[in-house]
Amino acid sequence: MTENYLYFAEGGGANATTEAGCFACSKLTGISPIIKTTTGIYFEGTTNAQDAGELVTLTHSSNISGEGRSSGHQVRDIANAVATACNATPKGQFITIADMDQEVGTARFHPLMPGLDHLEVSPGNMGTNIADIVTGVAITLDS
Amino acid sequence: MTENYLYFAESAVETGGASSPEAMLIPASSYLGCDPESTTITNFKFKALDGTATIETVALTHTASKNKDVIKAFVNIVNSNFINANGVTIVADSEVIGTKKFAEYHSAFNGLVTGCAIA
Repeated sequence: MTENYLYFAEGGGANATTEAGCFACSKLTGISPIIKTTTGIYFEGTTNAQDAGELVTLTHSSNISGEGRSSGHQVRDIANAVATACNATPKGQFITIADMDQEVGTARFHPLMPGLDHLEVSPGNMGTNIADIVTGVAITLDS
Repeated sequence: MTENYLYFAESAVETGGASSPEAMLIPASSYLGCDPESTTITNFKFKALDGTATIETVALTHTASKNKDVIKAFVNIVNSNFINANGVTIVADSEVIGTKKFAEYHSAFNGLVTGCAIA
């Protein structure tokens, strides 16, 4: 059965170990905050049977208390983006969640990742990018 | 088939990781079982986020002696009877940020659930 796969890249060129990862949505085991400025996305281990899980850590801004926020911590919005991507149809998609190898701009992130719509900014600032929210990706195998 | 993802959050969401998260999204398929802790708290247990042998326990605080009602509602939620288009179900989000964000509990609980803690 085809399914959706999520892609993450740290920004180092995706040409060395852990610089990028692509994980099946069926292997997603959960998402949780790690500290105020990081959120962990967990997957079943991919390097061996019954090995430790894989962890993708997204670095982002701290709590933002803007009107209409669904969450103080970014975890709820990140979780919503990842789950929506996993349930996107038709199945069988390759979906970029966060690719820091891409130039600054929306190509770096899934459209639902926390972004400017959650910031209280003046219209003149709307030209900036959602990298203001998520600023880093780190992949840890056998976390 | 749409995967049902369940979201839980404590009153303050700042830290945690996999061992003691203050919030988490977890597939409904990771649900293992439940256990009443007291007349006002029922624990719901899930496989660990990071695949270890430990478990994640969500303690829902509720109206006294309504354990069975809360469990029944939770099972309905797990069975996707209330699933949204994107598959994300806010089961119990206790996070409060001043006047900006308020606690949110699934309507299936019919107002019985008033708190959420994750261990």
